[in-house]
Amino acid sequence: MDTIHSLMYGFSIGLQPENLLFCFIGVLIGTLVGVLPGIGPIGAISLLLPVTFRMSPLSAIIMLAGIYYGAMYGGSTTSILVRIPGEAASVVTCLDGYQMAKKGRAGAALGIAAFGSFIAGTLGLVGLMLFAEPLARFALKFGPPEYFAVLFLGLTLVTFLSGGSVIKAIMMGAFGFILSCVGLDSIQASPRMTFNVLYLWDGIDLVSLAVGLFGISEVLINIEGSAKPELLEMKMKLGSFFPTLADWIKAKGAILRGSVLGFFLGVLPGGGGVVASFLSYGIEKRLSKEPEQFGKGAIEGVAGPESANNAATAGAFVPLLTLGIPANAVMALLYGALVLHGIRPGPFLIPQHPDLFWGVISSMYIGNVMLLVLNLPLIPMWVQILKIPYRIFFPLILLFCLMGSYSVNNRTFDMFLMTLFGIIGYLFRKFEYESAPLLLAFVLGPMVEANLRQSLLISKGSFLIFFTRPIAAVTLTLALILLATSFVPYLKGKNR
Amino acid sequence: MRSKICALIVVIISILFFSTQPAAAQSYPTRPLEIVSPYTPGSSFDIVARVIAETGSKYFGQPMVVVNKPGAGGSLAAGDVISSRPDGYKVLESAQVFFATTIKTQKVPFDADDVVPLANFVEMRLGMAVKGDSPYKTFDDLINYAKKNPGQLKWSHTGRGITLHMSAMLIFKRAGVTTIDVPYKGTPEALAALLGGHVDAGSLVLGAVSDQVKAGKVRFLMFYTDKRFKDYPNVPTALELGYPDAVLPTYIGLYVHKNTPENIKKKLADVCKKIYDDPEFKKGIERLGEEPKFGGPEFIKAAIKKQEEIGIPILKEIGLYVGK
Repeated sequence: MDTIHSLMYGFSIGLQPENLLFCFIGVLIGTLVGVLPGIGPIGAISLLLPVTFRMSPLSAIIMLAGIYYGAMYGGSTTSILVRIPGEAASVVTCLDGYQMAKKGRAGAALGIAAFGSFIAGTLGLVGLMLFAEPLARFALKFGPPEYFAVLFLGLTLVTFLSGGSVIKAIMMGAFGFILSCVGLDSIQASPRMTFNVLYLWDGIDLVSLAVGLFGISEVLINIEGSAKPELLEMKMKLGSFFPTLADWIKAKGAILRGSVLGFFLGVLPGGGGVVASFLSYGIEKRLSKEPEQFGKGAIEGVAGPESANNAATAGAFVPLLTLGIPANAVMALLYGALVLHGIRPGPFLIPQHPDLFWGVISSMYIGNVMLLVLNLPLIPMWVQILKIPYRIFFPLILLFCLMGSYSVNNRTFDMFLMTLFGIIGYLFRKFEYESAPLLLAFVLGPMVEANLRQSLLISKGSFLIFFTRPIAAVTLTLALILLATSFVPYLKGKNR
Repeated sequence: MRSKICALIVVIISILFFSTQPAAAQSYPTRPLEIVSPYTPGSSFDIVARVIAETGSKYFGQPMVVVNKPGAGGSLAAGDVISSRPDGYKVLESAQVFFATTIKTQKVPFDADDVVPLANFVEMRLGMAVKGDSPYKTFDDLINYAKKNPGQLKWSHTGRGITLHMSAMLIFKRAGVTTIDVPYKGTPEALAALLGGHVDAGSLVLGAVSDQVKAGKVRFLMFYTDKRFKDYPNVPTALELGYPDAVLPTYIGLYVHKNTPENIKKKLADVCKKIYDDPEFKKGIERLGEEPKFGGPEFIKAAIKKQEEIGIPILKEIGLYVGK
């Protein structure tokens, strides 16, 4: 009852014309940022931070939050249309989204991504509103051993990310792990595989890697194939812009599971959209009756991850607003923005600034509706883009990719890296090695390593620590069983 | 929508173009200045840089823009300023700790002397903290526990080789106890480990956790300083507790390329003083929970020297020193 009352109060703030306007500006910029590959929400928010000095703190946060979840909507667009992840959390959407587009179902893929995002965003907000404080306390129970167990479970999904050989997937996972080790290690701060290149001290940037492996390699494949790829000759029927009833039936479970999973992973520091989307994909494939359809345009492979990354954005607000602990880089930026406005996120935020907490929550409801209204009419337009001749289209894509990879850290070196990974990615595809397991291991690698080493530091080297703590023990056992089952087809002699 | 994208492209291209335009040499500054900040957006360093930039724009008559070049403990930002034209349009934000010790753990293609200090703005407040409901009421309680349980006391910090790590290491060493240090990526993670009870103590930045302190969730047992802070009169200092060499402050200041023309250096130094004296600047820093502290080039040089004397032996001891 109290919650409803507070929410009504929140809406009375969120619906003020000024806040509506900033919410709209935020989600609009967010959508654009999501659509443009490489220029992620982190870059956009830090560019716009100075602008917000002149606004009220509430309007500032409403706008900046809008950019964040807006980007999660927009991020799917280029993943589906041109196989270039608009931001890191949309990497997995490339797998099935792009295949759907190739089959002429770009509209359905974009549609299910938008609806899934909307449903997940709304569910995530309900979670944020109802359970913010108990969840934040629960998240603190996760120490290094628990994190390690959850991340290890995530890592076993490497074997489900690939449509082809399990062995090849594990090899790619191992390669991803190795790439993630480049730079200073998180415990000793000693450089690894930096080859005396100062730029490698901080490791390889995810955007350069993902855009290179997925986007640039796709452009290369298309240039090689012909000047007129089949995709562009597809007749676009108006009716096919939106998901059909059959699509909905297939996707509904994925959306719900993705929402719950994404929300919880968002709450845990270090998790966030990227991990959530990968895990959702792995789980959907595992649960699916036709796992062989994944990677060939399964709608669940778009619906699950896209829902998960949006729910994760809502989840990430939990530790920020209740504990003052930013769960990821975007939250750290919002934390900075609040501090600049004289508001400290943390235990005092809700009692001292109820207007801010409930105002932001209500604005996120409003923003999600705006995004849906904004994105659905755009789908036919995005699909039209595919009709642009490829010889004009691909230089533009390359330009955006280069700009995007530059803008992450303002350094030229990342553009070279991206190009290099583009070529490597092209070779991978020629030899039928898939990039998705590599990226998953790359994302999880540093976290797995840090938490493993932290756990072992705490236990003075004893691996028993993982089996004496209940959450860790159950999770790890589950992971080991899952890992074992992925080899069952081998034992049966079926080479899959 | 398409026109919006086009507009954005134009904006981005013009930003890229503008930032590479050659300097007009007449009356400095004729175009925006950049503060190159060594940590990610949202970090304490970033916020300090933004507060400086906000006030600085007023006195330069040109916008000051914060550019984040995070990485390698500050070396990428330093390298960026050192490799750019010495025309006074790029200013480095850094800490004396970086020049004294961090850089000595890395093989970097430049010298610490390639930039010169302009002014110091902030002293970060660092100390050893426990959870609010922890049984250890004083630092002695913590040490007694560690003495009774050798090698059991766990404490979090945010990276080996930085001040937070070195001060605490030194204190435990001097106290004659063996402990387990658990490194985390940043203050948020180190704080979460403390609040969740995964470590017994944390070597933390006060500014980043001051709200938890006010809420009683985190309690500082000591600050690594020689003087008590006015707003925390009950927390003893490392000096009082008998660890004088653990007093390793972190000062955040601005630096500029050593070949910058003297008149421009002077203008920059003058404006730095004006920024510091502006009440708006102080208000911004206090909001952040840090301590404003002014000092000229000599002050920073002395601080670097002191940090070198204490820090380098520790680096050698923990095997991180590569020299320079």
